Amino acid sequence: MSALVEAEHLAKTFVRRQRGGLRQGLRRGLRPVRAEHRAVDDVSFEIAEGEFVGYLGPNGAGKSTTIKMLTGILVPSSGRVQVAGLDPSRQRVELARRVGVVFGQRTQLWWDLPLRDSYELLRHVYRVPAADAASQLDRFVDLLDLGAFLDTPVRQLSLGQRMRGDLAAAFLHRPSLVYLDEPTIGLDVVAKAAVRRFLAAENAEQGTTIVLTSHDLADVERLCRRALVIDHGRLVHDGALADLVARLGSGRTLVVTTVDPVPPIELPGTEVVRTDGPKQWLRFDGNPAAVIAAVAAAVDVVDLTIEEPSVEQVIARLFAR
Amino acid sequence: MRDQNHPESSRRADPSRAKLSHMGTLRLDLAVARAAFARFASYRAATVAGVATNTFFGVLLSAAVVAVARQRGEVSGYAEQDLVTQVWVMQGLLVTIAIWGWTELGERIRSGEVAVDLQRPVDLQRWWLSHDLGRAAYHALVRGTAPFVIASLLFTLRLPTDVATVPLFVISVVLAVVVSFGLRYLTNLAAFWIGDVRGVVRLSMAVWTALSGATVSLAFFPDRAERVLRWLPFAPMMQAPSDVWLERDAGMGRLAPIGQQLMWVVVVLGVGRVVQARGVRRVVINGG
Repeated sequence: MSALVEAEHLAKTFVRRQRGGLRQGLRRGLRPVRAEHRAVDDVSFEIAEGEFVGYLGPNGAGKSTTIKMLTGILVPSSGRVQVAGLDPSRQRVELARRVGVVFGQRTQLWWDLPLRDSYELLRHVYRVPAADAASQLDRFVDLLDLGAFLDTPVRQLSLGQRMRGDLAAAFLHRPSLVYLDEPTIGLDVVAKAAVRRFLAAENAEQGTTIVLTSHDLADVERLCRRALVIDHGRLVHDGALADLVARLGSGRTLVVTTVDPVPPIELPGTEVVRTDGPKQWLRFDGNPAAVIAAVAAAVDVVDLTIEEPSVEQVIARLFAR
Repeated sequence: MRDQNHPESSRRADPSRAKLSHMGTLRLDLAVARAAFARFASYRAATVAGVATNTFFGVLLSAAVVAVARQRGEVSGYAEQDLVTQVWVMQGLLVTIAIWGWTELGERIRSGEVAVDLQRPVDLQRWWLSHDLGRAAYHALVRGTAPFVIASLLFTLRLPTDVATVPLFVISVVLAVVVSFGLRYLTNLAAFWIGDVRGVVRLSMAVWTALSGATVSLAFFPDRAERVLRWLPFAPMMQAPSDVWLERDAGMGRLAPIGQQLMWVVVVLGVGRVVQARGVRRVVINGG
């Protein structure tokens, strides 16, 4: 299968002009200082049709910059990028017909109009036949539970509702490729679950290729078969997320609350990192079920919760080795 | 199971659909304009306040021009009734051509929201022009006509004597909006270079208000200044439609202001395209 997305030695350098203090200014003759920032530095990868790829990295790692080069909004400083056989920055408009994008912190919905009106407009933007758009919308109403607020102005929607609305907007024209930039940011557990279900279905049933950037490791673990990890503009991992986690250990934390305060729980493969009265925090790698069973057998448990490590923590560990 | 209704052939954007018919583009323009119309119609309080403001200032300005006309008789060939009518035509045009400014695109460039606009398969200028025409249609129909109707109860306003004036006036108002859009679009594109456009927009508004005939009709300017001002892009936004309504020129001469408007439409939209192409290539999306 040919690659849908090809990036070769892709790089983007931003030039920032900084004005120094007075002393520095006098020394340099009041010329602003030019500081170069390599947001994306020599990144190469391919994405095949139908893949669900996680694109991970800490804040400022270059995730959004890469995606904007893939959509053609930003022009690469060097390297080559091709998406669906097109050069994104030169054929941006043509490419945009086949692509859907959700920038989690922005919206393409019309703020002052009922949600439904945005879909009516997008139908014209992407020239989707009316009947097709209607059947797509029916599907989304069902999968994303949009029914209750289709006729509500977007500005009155909750963040979770708006995000579901934005997702439907990105998929309405049956794009071959969808970029999702932090689609679950700020959402509660229920909304996150709905978004994940929807994305998994679109990928599996419709064959839509999806590239997802997220801070939430759980998003990526549940959805993506492959993860690209970027840090300081460089690609540091390309492969199954499971490999990355296995290599580094997932580093989850089990929070155990016992009936009465007990001495730190000692179990092989775990480490108590914090205690607070009847609460203890156990760091562990490996199978959570086995750890939970062992803890339950050792002490009288009132409550158990698992804290997932953030992508930052996993990546920090990647660099700690 | 849901796939049954969606054969694979329609799933992917096939090349034949990528070849766009002009009809499809026009339908999109209309859809954008309709949405913009609905958007501005949703600001009800602003509409009521706006009509009241236009009416209030219209009465003040009418009193002023009546006083001048009674003292001087005619002003550059405008009789008292013409001058009063002009005040009210212009009160309707002010918000229709958005003389008090528009910074939406500039703000979107500054905040990075423009990324959303750029990932649509549409031309940025065409999108915002359609949007502005939809906005202007709402403002013309509601905020444009209401003060005129109210004023016609207070003053004897001049109505066209020739039927052809009505379509000519509509064409002239549309062209006025397009010229104004073209200039506003340019000032907003400056955001690609300077970040914050509010200062530029405010300055340009001051110039327009002074030189378009909006506050003081060009009739009150000295003859030579008036001749020069009619060739600048400001008169086409205010003075031109107003002169068409007043049937200032006879015969083919009535097309002269429309000709000047057309010339400026070509210039401002053309320059806008060149500047847009440069701006988009150097875009830095702010805010990640």
